[in-house]
Amino acid sequence: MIRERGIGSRIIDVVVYSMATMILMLTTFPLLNIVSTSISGNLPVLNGWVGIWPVQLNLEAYTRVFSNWLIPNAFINSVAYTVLSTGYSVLITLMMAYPMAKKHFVLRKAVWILLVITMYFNGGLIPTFLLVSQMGMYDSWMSQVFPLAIAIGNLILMRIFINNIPEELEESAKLDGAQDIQVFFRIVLPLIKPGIATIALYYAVWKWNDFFNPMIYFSTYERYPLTVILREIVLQGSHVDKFMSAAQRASQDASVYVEAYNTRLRYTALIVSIVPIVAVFPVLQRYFIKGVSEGAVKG
Amino acid sequence: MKKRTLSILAAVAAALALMASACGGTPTASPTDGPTSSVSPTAGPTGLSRDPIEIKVFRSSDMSQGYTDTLFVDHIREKFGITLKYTYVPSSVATEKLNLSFATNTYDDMLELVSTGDVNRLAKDDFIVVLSDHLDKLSNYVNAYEPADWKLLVDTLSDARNRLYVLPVKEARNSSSSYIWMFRSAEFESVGKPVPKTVEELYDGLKALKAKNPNLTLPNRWGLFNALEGFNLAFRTRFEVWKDPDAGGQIVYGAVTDKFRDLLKYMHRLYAEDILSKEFITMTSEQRMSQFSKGNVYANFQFSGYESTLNRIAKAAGLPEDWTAEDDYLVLTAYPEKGPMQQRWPAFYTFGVALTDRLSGENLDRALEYVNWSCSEEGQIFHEFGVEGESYEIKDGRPVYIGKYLDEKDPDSYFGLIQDYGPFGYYVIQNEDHAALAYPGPARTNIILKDVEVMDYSALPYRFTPEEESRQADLGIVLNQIRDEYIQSFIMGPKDPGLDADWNEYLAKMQNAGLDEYMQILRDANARLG
Repeated sequence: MIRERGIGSRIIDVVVYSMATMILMLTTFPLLNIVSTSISGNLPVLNGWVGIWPVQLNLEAYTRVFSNWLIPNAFINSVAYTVLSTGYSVLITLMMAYPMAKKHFVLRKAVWILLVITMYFNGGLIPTFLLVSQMGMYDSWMSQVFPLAIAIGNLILMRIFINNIPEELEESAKLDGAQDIQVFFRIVLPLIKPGIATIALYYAVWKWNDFFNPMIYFSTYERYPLTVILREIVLQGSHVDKFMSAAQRASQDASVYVEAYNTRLRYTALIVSIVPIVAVFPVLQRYFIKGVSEGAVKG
Repeated sequence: MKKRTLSILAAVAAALALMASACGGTPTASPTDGPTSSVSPTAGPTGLSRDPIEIKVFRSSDMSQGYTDTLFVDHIREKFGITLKYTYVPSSVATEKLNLSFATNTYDDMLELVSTGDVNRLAKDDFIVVLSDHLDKLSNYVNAYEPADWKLLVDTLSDARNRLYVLPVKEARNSSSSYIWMFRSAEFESVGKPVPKTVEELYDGLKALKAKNPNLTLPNRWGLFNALEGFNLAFRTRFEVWKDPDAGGQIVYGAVTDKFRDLLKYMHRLYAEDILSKEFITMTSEQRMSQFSKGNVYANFQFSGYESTLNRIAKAAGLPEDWTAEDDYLVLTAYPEKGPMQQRWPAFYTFGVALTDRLSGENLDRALEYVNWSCSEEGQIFHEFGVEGESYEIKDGRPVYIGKYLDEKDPDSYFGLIQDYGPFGYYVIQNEDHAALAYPGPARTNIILKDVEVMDYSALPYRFTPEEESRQADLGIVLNQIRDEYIQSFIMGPKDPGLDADWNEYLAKMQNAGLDEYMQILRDANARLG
């Protein structure tokens, strides 16, 4: 039966849709402006002619960003650190969440309390730095993967997911002769895919955007991820040209419209940094929404 | 027996060699003597005959190159037996990384291109070598300074016990000059006005041009006080505390003087006539450059040589390339009887080289030897250009990069030398002769303006007592806040600097906020430095 909607309900719909559209525009327009500016000519950028559409299409900034070793190298580093650390974090979060969800695990409460404490207190920067350094991870990719591998929020989320799996499923698998490890990988994991996708996205975004840890633990430019290099570009904006060779600098009108050219390069670098992580979201979206909503209402 | 005799002979020979090397040391300079007139590069023994040592260097850097080049490090190893092991830290995170390294006791032996403020802060915890105790081993560095510049350096950077911890990078005088005025001269002449030499001529000219182009504007550079730059030189005044030659060299608070009032009256007129951009306080660099590309700017105060950039902008925008910086019109004056002034920048930067307490004994001596050599003529050329035939060659009397180095560094770039260090770049001392060749614009401007009176842009040094330091900081915040509010109000309205009532109200507020006490503290603290 389709219920007749009242005028009040329709007004609320109009208000809600209007507000949603407005918020969409407010968040989309700046992004479109950044994209358009990065692919517009220098003069339109300088004179503020660029809105949401590019003016005098010009891809020179992208060519320059990718023709210098520093940014592509940092990009590859970011991808590598994100993939490795996300994979590792997801794996050990799941392996920690599984016993934590089992009521018969004797030390469950004690371990859980220890874990939750780390949500509020941590070792502090200097002890952590010393620990990581003394374990030989300073200036190594390992410093981006192994320390800080578990986010307790994600652990809680996964525990809730695992708790929601009927005990009978696991019992029947065990009756068929499955070991705990088999139950975990063959029964539990397929049932919590939305949760895995959710925490994978959380971890990936965190690691991709992480500036502080790479800044602390790396000491060579070759190992820095994109976040550190981008910050350098943004903060040293007026000298962004230094990321280019002399031959590149001498070309075209870059040296004339230095301000506009620097802006375009900065925006290009921003686009390069956000596209990969934004691209991941549609792939995981289906699982992500399901995962977030299930994790939120059940427990 | 034979073995024993040989051992004794070897020991005697070693002792004699040691004595000989001690006698043939580098020229010495006492911290109180100041620089001497001669520069004596130290050749130093070859590194291959000495025990190899490794020095870890923390270098704040904006380098973009891959650090695979070993020419530099190899040469230093061969010459001094020192292997320099660099950690390149992006300058945007240098302070954080530096703090962390000291907090975790993982700091390096040498700090390069770090802020002098950071070094002095770390020195309070005794992490840093007191370089003023070793100035006899740093004679090339000391001698590179004029006596007055050296005194300023020591006064500015030493602590209360006159200890110097950092060697700031010295900029070549030939690489910088006063900013200059540049005009579109033909446009002034087209409206029957002369190319300006005085601020009144500038005002008349711009007013006439405004009638021709209503969009005319005088865009400032980056905010309120930069809008005053150039004009402050014409009016022989500053908004901050400085030594005013028209007040007998006394330390004055510039923004309360009659000359500053004249400046504000002038700026008020420019603003009222819509010549000074209405957005001059908030204008961004892009907005400013946009006005150039639209042909709305006719006069500009900028660093020497910038007129060619303005002409390139004009050309790209399809405008006539008519910007000029003519010898007779580089400076303006408001008081023709007193004449104009030009800027003089500090001889040293706010970043430099320091050694940490990781170095001691012979290692410290060898590090000092390396630093001192780098300040010699030979060391300066090496640090900037590398090895002749390998990384540079002399063309027309000027060293130029060759091969891959040519592409990695732009010798003509204004920012190139100090920002693009790797693999080479000037180190602690920028070579004057090279700077004259690399920066023909500033070098030429310096020659043209050699007789123009100088306004020193160096910050005045002080030696405060702890009580004074705190008190002057408190007073300074309040006074500067009142000053800033009134300057805006005087230029943009509603206050009028031409009205005695408004001006006296401003002076009264400054007095009530403790101006006299503030100035007395500063004068006393400056006088302590002699």
